[in-house]
Amino acid sequence: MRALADPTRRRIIQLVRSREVAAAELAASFELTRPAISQHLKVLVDANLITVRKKGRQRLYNVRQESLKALFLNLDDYWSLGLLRLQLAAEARAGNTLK
Amino acid sequence: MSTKKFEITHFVKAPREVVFDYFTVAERMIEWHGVEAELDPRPGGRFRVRHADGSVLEGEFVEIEAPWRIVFTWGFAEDPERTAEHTPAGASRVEVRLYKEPDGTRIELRHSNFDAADDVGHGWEYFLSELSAAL
Repeated sequence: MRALADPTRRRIIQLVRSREVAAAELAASFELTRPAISQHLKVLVDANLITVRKKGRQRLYNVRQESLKALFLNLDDYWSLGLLRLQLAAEARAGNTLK
Repeated sequence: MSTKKFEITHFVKAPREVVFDYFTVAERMIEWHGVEAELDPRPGGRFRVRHADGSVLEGEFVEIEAPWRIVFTWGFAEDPERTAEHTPAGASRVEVRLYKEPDGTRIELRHSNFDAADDVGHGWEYFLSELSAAL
């Protein structure tokens, strides 16, 4: 899950989940340098979350659907993420009430 | 159709009365779960939560015992764009228990009768959209 701990990498996955996207296009979507984007892409490829293939001089990235499903599609994630968000909201509210 | 269930426990540093509202009051619910909610917390009352990816969870409240126990049913509303089989509205059951602890509340959540086939439909898109919404 460390590969997904970073918001830029989560956004990359959203961008490549429905179609192949070239590295240049991804870099343009973020205010980041090409090397920085390349580093994020490498983490995601190494984690088997996205695929890469060369086409001419381009490198095209796409999501690896099976990996994402295996990662996300269980209720444990659904509720553990949900309850974590509930915790943050409830504790902020309780804190404000006590003050 | 195979079904599954699981349990999760989570500790929150807030009193039960505060946590209880996060399951029963729409404006609290959408602070952590979904982007739009309609909740009528009494037996037979409506439970409806729409997520950022457009999927809608529907069911009804079954039992309510403030401030410590909430039971509701849960499933995906009809959606013509999603043809895959999935847990229908109201088909699965979620039971939430809130236990008082010295400095907060222990949440125990049990979700049962959930269609295992849902593991390949809505989940990850939902998860990603919620994550990005939370950023």
